[in-house]
Amino acid sequence: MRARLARARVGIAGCGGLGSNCAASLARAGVGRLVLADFDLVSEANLDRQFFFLDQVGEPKALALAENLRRIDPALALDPRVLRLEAASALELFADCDVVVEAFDDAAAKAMLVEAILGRAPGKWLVAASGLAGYGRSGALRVRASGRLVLCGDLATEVGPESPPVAPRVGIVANMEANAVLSILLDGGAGEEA
Amino acid sequence: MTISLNAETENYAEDSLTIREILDRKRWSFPLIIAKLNGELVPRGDYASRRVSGGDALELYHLVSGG
Repeated sequence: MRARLARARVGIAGCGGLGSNCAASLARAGVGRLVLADFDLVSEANLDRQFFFLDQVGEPKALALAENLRRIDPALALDPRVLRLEAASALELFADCDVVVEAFDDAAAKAMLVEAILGRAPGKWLVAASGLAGYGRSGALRVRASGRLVLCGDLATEVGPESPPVAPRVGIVANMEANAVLSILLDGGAGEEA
Repeated sequence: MTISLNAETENYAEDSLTIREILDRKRWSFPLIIAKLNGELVPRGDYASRRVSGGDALELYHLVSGG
């Protein structure tokens, strides 16, 4: 299992609450190669749920995440990119990835990546997240597989003033994404029904 | 017609409906949705024109912000 994961390459689109925690789980599980993309900088407000530390505030998230993952395993092959992904750049950056993890915050960016990967990279798997705000209701979080698209979350709870993203639910969905990636890499399927 | 909507059976009096009409019937108003008709992704601009008829399998998933 470790040997197969060590050879795999996974793209992480967004290194915030979902992407940073998903990447950490994939690294710990033994996925050997990760492409990390995010345009943003670590802020103090991110520390409530994202896999960064106080002394990294102000650093680009992609670079700070690579630094943290190397502390888990210095042998990881990491390709951190500080850029805002668009459809064309995502297709190019993730061309050699077996699976892409959608880990954006913004719903419009999520839709952009789903349309780009599913519409224009037909052989590629996309693991996406939708609906993870607030706390409690762990049982409402599900994994749905539809062809090469896997969707994790409750598909309903939007982030807003009354329902901020909070560490446990974000972490659960980030790990649902990581778990689906492992099933795809090891079994060739998401291991879930629609 | 009888269709499969998110793997559940759904009946409508009409012989066909557009994806947009089905969204309205279900009162699903999230602005961003992934639609797949018989396994194929339907571009967002085609919801008002793409028709769903008996036997079709439609999947509609809400995309909400948060991450």
